Amino acid sequence: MMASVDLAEMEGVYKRFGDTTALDGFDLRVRRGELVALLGENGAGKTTAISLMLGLQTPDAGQIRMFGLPPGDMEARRRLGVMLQEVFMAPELKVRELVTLFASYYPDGHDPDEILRMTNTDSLGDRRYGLLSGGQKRQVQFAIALCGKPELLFLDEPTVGLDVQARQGLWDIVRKQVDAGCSILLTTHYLEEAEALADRIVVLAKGRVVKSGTVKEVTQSISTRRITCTSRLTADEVGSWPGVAIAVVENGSLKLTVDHAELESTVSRLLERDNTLGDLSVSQAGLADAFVKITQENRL
Amino acid sequence: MNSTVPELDTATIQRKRMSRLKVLRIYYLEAKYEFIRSLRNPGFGFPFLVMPVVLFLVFSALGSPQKADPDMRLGLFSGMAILGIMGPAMFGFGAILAGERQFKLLEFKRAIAMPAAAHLIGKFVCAMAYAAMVILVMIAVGLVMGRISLNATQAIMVGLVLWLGVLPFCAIGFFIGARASAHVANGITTIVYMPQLYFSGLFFPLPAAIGWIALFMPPFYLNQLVLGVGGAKHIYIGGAWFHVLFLAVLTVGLTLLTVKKMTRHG
Repeated sequence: MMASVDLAEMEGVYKRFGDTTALDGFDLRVRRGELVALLGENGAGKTTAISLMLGLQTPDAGQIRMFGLPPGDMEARRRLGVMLQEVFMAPELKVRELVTLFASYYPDGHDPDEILRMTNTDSLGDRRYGLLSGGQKRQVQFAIALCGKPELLFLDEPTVGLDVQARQGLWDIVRKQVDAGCSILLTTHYLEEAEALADRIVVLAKGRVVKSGTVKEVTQSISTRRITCTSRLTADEVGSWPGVAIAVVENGSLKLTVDHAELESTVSRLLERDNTLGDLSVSQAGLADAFVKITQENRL
Repeated sequence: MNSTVPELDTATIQRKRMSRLKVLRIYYLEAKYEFIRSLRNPGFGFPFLVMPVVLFLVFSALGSPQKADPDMRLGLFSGMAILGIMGPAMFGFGAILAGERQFKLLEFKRAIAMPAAAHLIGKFVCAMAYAAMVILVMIAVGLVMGRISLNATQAIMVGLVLWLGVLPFCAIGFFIGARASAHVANGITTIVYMPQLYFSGLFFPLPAAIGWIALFMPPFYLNQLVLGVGGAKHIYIGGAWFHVLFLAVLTVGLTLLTVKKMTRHG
């Protein structure tokens, strides 16, 4: 009988940089065919976790295995696709040349034209990389990440700089990859991206996992509700009320994230203070609200 | 999550092997695209190829001593050829590598399935190919236009010595590129490159008071070796073994220091 292993496994990992603790007993598992979104504020330890999994750094303590092998092992690397946040590519080379070079690293990589078609970048094939826009460069980097037919794909802020259409296109390809059995570890600051794509959310704060579960589990884990209305009250005024975690005005609507225990009193107060109040609705908080609440709690 | 996909098993881990031919293709493509990059870079490829040839033709046609004395003409040829091979080697490894290192291309390639040394070997092969092109053009122009007098053996030996003479300049560039930030690497490479051209006495003799400085300049030793194998007895100084030893120690020493640094810090 063959032993089954996780594609990526981090257990009790510690990493310090001088006086700063980047990872403080960090645990993470990525199983086959799942998309895990790793969320956290800047400095939470996401980049360090990825660097350790890619074998670019070594942990101070703890266990890391990639495909059951040590990180950085060539057999493991041949199964990975990586899209880093910022990476230099030769500006003089054409997109097809870059994809040809990177695909050559893999035993059974995609044909360059095939991967350009798959990622809707075939129109860029004959253009020099240095002449592309920021969004086009991200699309090419995504194509390069996929060119080795990866079993595990690291996507670090993949849609920064992409327009709405390109972002939707990238999401569609990501979903197809997951359907085909590819596992994905996604880090993003666009929480709607994580909400739309992730099978599992892992929230990281101060180098530790502070919440983990499906989008539904994470959003339901916080006793928070969202109130939306039109009002002449200001966000600053309402934001100072007890139980109101977030108050913002977006597109003319006042949007509040409120602790469940204070929901009734907040609605009553809104109606009492503003007799012109309209379009009032109350809903379960979204991932963004949950993320803010979780990270706020763990910042203290 | 897709539940129909089979679980990973440890027995399949070792199966993604690459044939030697495919691995060789990686090195070939690294070198090929590095070479293409160089040719497409307007500030890099063309000037380093054309400038030495043009300068050699211009200066070898001027002034009676250089025109008359075959040794002096070989000296001028050697100086210009060294000028041509130094640039691509030092700047290719220095300034360009520093940018690739700082802006995470090397880190990215280390994370994915690139063989550890492929990127650097690609650069090295590119520098050697570029040098071969410069040397062949220089020798062909020199012989066809009658600006140098070499028999077939001498021409081959001069070409070979110049070609191998690229190695210490690759090592110097490699040393700079592994340490300097992208913003200053070009400047540092230029600061190292320019004085070597002057203080090695490649194009004109140094004043006697500072002549000793040439002994610390790698191009001086390479120039001497070229003059030696090209038969320029009047201006050849010292023993070949010492010139070779100096360049070999410099190349191996700097390469080892750089490999150690890059292995530790990337």
